Parts: sequence; structure tokens; C-alpha cells
Amino acid sequence: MRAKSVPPEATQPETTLSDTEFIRYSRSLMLADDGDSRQLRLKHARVLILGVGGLGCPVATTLVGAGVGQLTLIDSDKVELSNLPRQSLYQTGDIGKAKAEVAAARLRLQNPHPRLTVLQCRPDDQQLRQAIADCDVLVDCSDNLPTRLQLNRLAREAGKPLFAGAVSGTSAQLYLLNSQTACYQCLVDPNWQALQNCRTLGVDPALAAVTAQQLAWLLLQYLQATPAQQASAVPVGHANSVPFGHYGRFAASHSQIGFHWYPLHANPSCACCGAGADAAQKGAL
Amino acid sequence: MLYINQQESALEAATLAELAEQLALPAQGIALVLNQQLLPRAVWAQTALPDSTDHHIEIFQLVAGG
Ligand SMILES: [Zn+2]
Repeated sequence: MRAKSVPPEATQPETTLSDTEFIRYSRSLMLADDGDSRQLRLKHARVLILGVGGLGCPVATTLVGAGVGQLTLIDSDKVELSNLPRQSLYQTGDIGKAKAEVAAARLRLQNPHPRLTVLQCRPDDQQLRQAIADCDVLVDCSDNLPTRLQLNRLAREAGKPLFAGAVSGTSAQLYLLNSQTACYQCLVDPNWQALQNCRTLGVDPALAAVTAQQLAWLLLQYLQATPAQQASAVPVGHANSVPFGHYGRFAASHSQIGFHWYPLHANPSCACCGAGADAAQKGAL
Repeated sequence: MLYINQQESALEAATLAELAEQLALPAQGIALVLNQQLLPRAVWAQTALPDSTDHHIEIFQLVAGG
């Protein structure tokens, strides 16, 4: 495992934007009366993205472009030719190179301000726990079920919000969870041998981008909100809303094109968040 | 009346678990939404479908790629 970090420009928490930041982010600053405060909150935000593929590339690009403070990129894969139609941070000459490293290098060219950390590995629990400890928000853009269950479990353990996207074939789904809501394992049987991935079903490149940018939009809403706004339960569809506890499914029919959000009910005996978890804990004592 | 993925269905089931059995849904990797609520499989057996009212059911495959 290699970990690289670019030191922050200043060790004190910054309370203002520099002149170049003000110009760089001027089009975002116009969006709200408290645009400066929103931008500063984003500048202090620390985000972890697990998986830098078809979803992770656009999410990272938008967050870094928008001015996120710190981003940890985790991926064990190398760039493949079949990634290039949708994984926009990679170019033909990158084939065979480590994804997370290449992604970080491109993102640094895009915006030198965010601190970027790279984990070029498939993290075990301890490595992932360490990375999670240094972040406020966790984003699952991974391509397999064991990793999704691992991040779900450790997000719950750390009490940190989880924003997740999944695409395969012509399907796209999102889930937004925190310690107050149901967890991913309430819905998904850990023994499911999930074959629904891009290798087996293919993937629509535009749908991957739509899904990633829906996720990025929700992340920016959340990261720029005040702690009070983050904690308040607001109805789905409100401009400041993040529908935690909901599962989103992309559907296209007639005039309704986009994500439909459903409240996810908890499984009371879930082995991760429910009575099953309590029983497992008691058994371990 | 039952509506499954926007289609009227002639099936009759007392619970979601019974319905899943009649539809021969795979044991894993399926999401079932009843009247806009996504219900984990663990609660399907206790979720009644009283025929006094309509039920709108969406069934879809979960995906895990990225
Ligand atoms: Zn759970």
C-alpha cells in the first residue's frame, strides 16, 4: 500500500477564500446569498471515494473542480482499454497504470487546491478504518458487493454518512445512508453472488455519468450545508435536501426520467445494524 | 387489485412472501417496493396484502457495479 498526501497550504483552518479561489469559484459563489460560507464549508470538507471507475471518475472531477478540501481516492485496479469510454480521468496512454495514482495526478492538474490522498490497494478493514477516520463523508463507487458491504459496515461503525451509486447494464441505483437509517445490509443478503456488474452486463456510459453527477449534486448539497441543515430532516425534492434512508432507482418512462426515491425500511434482525448485530456482539463478549 | 410494475396482476397472495413465491423471484439480489416503500426480504412474510385496497408493487434487480 502506498499513501501520498499533499500538505495543506496553511495549517490554520482558513476563514476566507484567496483572491484566486474567489475567481475560480465565482460561478458557484453566485448561487446563494451565503455563497462564501458554503464555499468555505466545502473547502473544509474531507471526502473518501472508494472506487475510481465509471462513477468515481465523474464524482471526483466534480468535487475537485468545485473546491472540496480533501479527497481520498481508493482503488486497486489498473486502467484497462475497456474503461476508457466512460472513465474520463484516464487516457489511452494510461493503460496498465494504477488508476488511483493517475486519477490523482489528473485531478491535481484540474485544481491544485484540494489535498489528495491515494490508496492504491483493496483495503482490509484496518486500512479502510484508518482512511475513514480522516474523512467526514464516504462515497461508494465500487464495482463489487463485498466492498459495498465492507464500506457499509465500517461507515455504520464510524457513524459517518454513506453516499453510494451503482450502475450495471441499463440500470442505475443510488443509496444514501447514515447511522439513523436502515443500512445496505438490511437490503442485500451478504451471500448474494452478485453478478450484476459492468463486466457481465456492460454499462451505458451516459447513464454512469448521470448517476455519478446525481451523486455529486447530492454531495455538494450536503457538504455546503451548515451542520444544522445537515441534521434537519427536509422533504425529498427540497433544494437543501439529502434523502438519507432512501434508495434511488433510475427509471425512464414518458415524461418521468430520473431517479425515483423510496424509503428503505430496516431489517430488524439485520446482522450489521439490527438485533442480529447486537446478538453477534454479545456472542463475541 | 395488485399492480406489479404498473401492470394489473391477477395474482392473489396474502403476504409479500407468498407473492414472491408465486412469482418465483430469485432468492437474492431483488428489490421489492410496496406502495413506495422499499421492504427488505426479512419483512416480506409479515407484510400482508389485504384485498380491501389496491397495492402497487415495483420489483427490480439490484446492481452492484460502478
Ligand atoms: Zn442493516
